[in-house]
Amino acid sequence: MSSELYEVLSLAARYLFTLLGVLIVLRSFLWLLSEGSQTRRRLRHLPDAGTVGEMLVLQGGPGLEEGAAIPVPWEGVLGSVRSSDITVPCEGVRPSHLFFSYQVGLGLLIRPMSGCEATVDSVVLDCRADAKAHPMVHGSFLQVGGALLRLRVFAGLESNAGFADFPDDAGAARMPGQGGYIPGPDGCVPGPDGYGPVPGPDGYIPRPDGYIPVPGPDGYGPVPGPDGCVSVPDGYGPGPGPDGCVSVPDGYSPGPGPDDCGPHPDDCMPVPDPGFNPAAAPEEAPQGGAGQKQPEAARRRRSSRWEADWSE
Amino acid sequence: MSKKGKNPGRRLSGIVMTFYLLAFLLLAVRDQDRLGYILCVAVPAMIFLGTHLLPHIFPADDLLLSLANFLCALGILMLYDTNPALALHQTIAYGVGLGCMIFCIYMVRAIQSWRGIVAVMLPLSLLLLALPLLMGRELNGARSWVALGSISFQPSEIVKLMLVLILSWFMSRGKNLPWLLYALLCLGLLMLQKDLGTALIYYGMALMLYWISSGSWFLTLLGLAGGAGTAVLGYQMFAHVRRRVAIWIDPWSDYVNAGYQIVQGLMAIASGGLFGVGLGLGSPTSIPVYSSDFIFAVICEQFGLIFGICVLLIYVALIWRGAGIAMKARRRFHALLAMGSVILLALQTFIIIGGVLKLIPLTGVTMPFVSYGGTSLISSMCLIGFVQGVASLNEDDLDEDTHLAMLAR
Repeated sequence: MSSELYEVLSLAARYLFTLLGVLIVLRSFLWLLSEGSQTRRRLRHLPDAGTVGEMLVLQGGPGLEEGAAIPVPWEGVLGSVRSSDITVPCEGVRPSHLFFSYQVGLGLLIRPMSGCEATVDSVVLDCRADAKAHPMVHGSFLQVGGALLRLRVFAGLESNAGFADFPDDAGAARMPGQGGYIPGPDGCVPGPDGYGPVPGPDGYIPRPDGYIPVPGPDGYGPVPGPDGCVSVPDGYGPGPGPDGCVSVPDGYSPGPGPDDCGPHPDDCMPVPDPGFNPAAAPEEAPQGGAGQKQPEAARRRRSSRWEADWSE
Repeated sequence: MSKKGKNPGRRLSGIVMTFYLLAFLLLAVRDQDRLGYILCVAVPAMIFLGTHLLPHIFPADDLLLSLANFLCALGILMLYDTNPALALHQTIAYGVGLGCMIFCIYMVRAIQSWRGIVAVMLPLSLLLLALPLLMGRELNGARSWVALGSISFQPSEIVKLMLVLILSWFMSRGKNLPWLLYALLCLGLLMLQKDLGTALIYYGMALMLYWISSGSWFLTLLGLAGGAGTAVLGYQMFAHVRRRVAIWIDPWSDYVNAGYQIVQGLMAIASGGLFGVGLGLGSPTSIPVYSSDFIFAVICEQFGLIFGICVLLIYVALIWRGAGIAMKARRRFHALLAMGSVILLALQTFIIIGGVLKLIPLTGVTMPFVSYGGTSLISSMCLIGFVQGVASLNEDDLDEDTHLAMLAR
């Protein structure tokens, strides 16, 4: 091809190349923007994307409300400044207080910064502690400075350690040193104040073991079973035990056993009031499976005692 | 997918393939060279395979791949126009770079703990940087090349990859002293080699990455002040620095000798006008080091200023995409790795184009993906590989979030 012909072709083609270059740029930016909007749309349907759970604030400070829930990302820094991934603006919390990172199968690992401390489930950690030895799992407590937080991990994120051990023998998730309950892994839902299981219509709170005291026909206390006997949480019924004696958790006997005596350390029947006559008890005391009603006064006292127990 | 159901990747790759088909065909017709006809088919085919087939085989970000492929092919085109032998070397380097990119993607996905690797890379990178001082050869005023038989390479380009990994790892753990000492050692070795351009890139990347990881304005500004002070000290101490600054201020004062390169570059850009002098026309070879440092001036001369701006915007899109990927990363290390890689590419692009346009004093760095240089191209592809690895992890995390959301329902 002659150089003149090539020159004409090349001069004509430069406008085409410029146009193609501009089209390439436009297509690239359109692709960039459309991908961005698709990702934003997708994230709108995944409000918890990028987080492993949340920290419930049990004790906060002026800048941190009790009952607030702070989203917990997979990894980041907990500190008092706003640029932290978890911001805890409380006394005793440094601007960058600790690192945290979630490891699937292990839990949330806490690594305090140099010179900082944190308490995980009553174990004090400093910068030299082995984070993998004390991971935070669902239900774990974290104390940093004046703040007390509790971790709630979203479903599906498994941890070999399971759930945190609760300090309460009854198995209920209880805030240490305070009344009320934190929803535990058994599915107890928070009440209107954010704490504890939802009370039933009678004000009774369902226990984590599923025992729900519902009002009996008189409006008080637990419903009698098919035998008319009331089942109490300790498994003792009002019916006689293996020795024939009747035992109740409060030491009161609903009535004498076959030997006309109830269990009592000094062989005396504890009397709830001076007017109580144990001799009159066999007419009122329920037999095992007899289905008889308890004296109303005793029933009221028992229900009020249970109510007192559950209102702590 | 767009609203009309058409793949945006297909639309973009279609235009890119058309561009290179016509460009290489024009040059092949001019030269009546078999290599030109081969490249006329091979380059569009490589772009098609790279954009559509490879993402199905390994996890990759389509847009990043498309943009990187476009820039690499542009470099091959400009080199074929000026020196076909260099174009062949560049094509081979591109193939190797593609393999290294895939390796980097899998490395980022597979490696859970980088502690051992960082411990090995620390002394290895310092040794590599010291190699040119021990057995290197001087090129264009800098002793930064090492020749091993017939192969010569720039260790600083390889150390660039290790630098971003090491800095990201230490910064993600909040350990400032180790990375600071390491960075200072690297800068010291580069200053001894007189490779000021690479030193500037290393310094800028470390400073910006520190600011992103810590958010500390005070220390970042302190670092900036320290860098400015070092630059002033370097100006006072080293004659070649004073020469570079003098030429930058007024290249016409010595346009025959020291200022010749910048003057030729500026004249080439000016003569191209808005639409260029035409592909295969003009006199690009009159610019010293046209194949590496001043390839942007060659692009502006042949295709014009509008196309030159389009190339800059392609870099902007690439950096924007990379920064978006970094911000979506779940782990600090991955976020810093992606951001550090993007910062390196951005700084390198700004420094070389700024030098060519006389915005800043000229330094001897290459234009990422485009300039001739096997090591430079491979290291740029590896940086893109790091970003793509983080992008694929982000995608996996989002899929897992969707799965968890369905479980919770």
